[in-house]
Amino acid sequence: MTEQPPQGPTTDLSAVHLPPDAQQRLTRMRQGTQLFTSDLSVNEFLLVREAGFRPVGLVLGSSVYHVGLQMARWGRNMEMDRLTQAMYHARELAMTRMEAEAHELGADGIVGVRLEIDFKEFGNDLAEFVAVGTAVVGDEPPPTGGSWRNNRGLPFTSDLSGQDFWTLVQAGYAPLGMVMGTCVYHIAHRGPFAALQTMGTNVEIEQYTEALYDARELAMSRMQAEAEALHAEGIVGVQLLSLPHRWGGHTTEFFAIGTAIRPLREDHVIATPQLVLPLTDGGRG
Amino acid sequence: MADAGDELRGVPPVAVDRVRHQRDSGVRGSLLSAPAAAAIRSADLEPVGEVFGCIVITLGWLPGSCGYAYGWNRGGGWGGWSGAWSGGVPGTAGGGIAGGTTRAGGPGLGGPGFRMAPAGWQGGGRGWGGYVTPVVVSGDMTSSRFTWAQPYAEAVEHAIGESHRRMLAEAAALGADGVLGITRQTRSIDGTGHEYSSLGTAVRHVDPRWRREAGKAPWAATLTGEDVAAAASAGYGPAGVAFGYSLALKHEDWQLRQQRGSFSNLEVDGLTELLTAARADARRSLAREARGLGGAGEVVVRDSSLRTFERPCTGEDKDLMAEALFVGTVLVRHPAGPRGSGRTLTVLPLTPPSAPATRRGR
Repeated sequence: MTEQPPQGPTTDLSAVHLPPDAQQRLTRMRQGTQLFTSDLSVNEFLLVREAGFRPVGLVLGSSVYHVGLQMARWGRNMEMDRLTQAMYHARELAMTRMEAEAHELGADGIVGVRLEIDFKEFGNDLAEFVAVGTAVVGDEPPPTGGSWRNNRGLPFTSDLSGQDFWTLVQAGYAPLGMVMGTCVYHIAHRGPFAALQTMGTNVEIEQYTEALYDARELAMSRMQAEAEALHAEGIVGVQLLSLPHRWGGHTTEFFAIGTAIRPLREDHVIATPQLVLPLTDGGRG
Repeated sequence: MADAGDELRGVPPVAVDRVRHQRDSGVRGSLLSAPAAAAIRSADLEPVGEVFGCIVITLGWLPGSCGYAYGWNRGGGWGGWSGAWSGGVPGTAGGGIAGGTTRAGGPGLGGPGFRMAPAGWQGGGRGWGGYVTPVVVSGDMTSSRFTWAQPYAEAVEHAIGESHRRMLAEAAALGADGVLGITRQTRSIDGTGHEYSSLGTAVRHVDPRWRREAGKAPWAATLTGEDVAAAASAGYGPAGVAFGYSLALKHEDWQLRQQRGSFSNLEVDGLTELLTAARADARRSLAREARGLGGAGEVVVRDSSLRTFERPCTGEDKDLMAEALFVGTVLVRHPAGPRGSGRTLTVLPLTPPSAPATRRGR
């Protein structure tokens, strides 16, 4: 199936309705009492400052979504397109609301975005999709001219840590936006006859291999398509996750997410790092 | 140093004894790891002792109910509000909080605060319809139908603040200037008592110029020793810990049930609104508290949690609740200015990538 999931966020963020509470809070933040909130760690905050960005506030978008029902054919490999749509649409709602909050703050971008799914106690088919990040404003426009915002006029988004963000900017790249692709796939059950035939032998179960390939390919190509729409040079920090959620063993969501980037200048050099052997235990950042 | 007994008002006698003993013995405890201890030394801080604050409270609800169960949330023959089932999520073309959140009550219907379900939700032809019950946050409870929940919200908020204050009182009695590495814990004892506790390491500035003035509360930070040192090297110092707590309630209404029972994909407006309201209110009170701590403070690093639960209302009906807590450390410019060079040194650690560079493990 080549059909694309719903299109990305609309460009006009001022049309997104924010709850009155959020609007008041954001207006106060914008009116420049210096206080801002962020969920960056101290190190990340300092690095983001050093990269030439000023945090302006924590931004958050949330959507509680009822994921619909879809019956799978027991013995068939198939994409559960209704579930795919749900997972995509709900994430997009959360992301767009977060972007709208950042837009209200006059932000150029959002760093350290976390996109989480939380199944609530309220019911099995209900999940909360949350996007949280820290909105930042660039001290100066990018060296290439233009704006830090992406070609849709949206604040850039990035799920990179402050450390990675710093490194990226140092090396002459800028994030454009988080891109994602998802595919909820039902892997066929094998009939008793097929199972009997392979009993006791070590053979590839082509049906399963094929299903897993298909599903991942779909997710990744959708992510790719989003990056192309942003005119990105590439995608960094891609995670390819398989999330079983709550649909039982044979239905799984394959989710690809990464940060699309563009070059800021021709050369991409970064100072040679010094090697250190920390005397702290490995678990400490 | 002021008399310990004075600063330790409200702290149990056994803790007062321990603090007095700790102060007099000169043995200084700390919860810091060795690297953290070394790090804070670089920021000119030294540990004074570990400090603890705790309060055990009972949590309950006043008798009463919101009364939204009676008639308000049933489908009924409200003529004129029928329309074709749209199947879509209203207002989501731009990804908005679905329509209706600010819509006023329908003509001549309902009391203040009631809203009609957005038109898109009206079922086909036979007068399905219903009211959307409002979301109420703890700040506005007094004038709402959820006054029965107010003592609960107040008790939780008090407990969070009180355990923190008791910990700070111990630190003050030890003559500390601040407390860092604060961790909080909540647990339930036999299901009736709820313990809220805070634990941290009290520290003192080595340089007498930065010592705490008598009568002022010590500063506090949920940051680790390493983080405090990093902040100090960039010229920031912690001013205190701010808490933002909120409880939001909503009676499970017709619209909610409708959306949950559906076979199609859709956003559950009421729940989105509930969780958004809880978080927004908590963030508002966090900012208020942070502003009080830092004046024109500069940074709040924070962590947050959200818990949802439900409580039977009347009959089969339920009240849905969301409890949000945001905790943040307020950092302010330290008068001493940055200690470090201010430039980042790029290093490549020779350790396995167990501590991921990205935030994924956070």
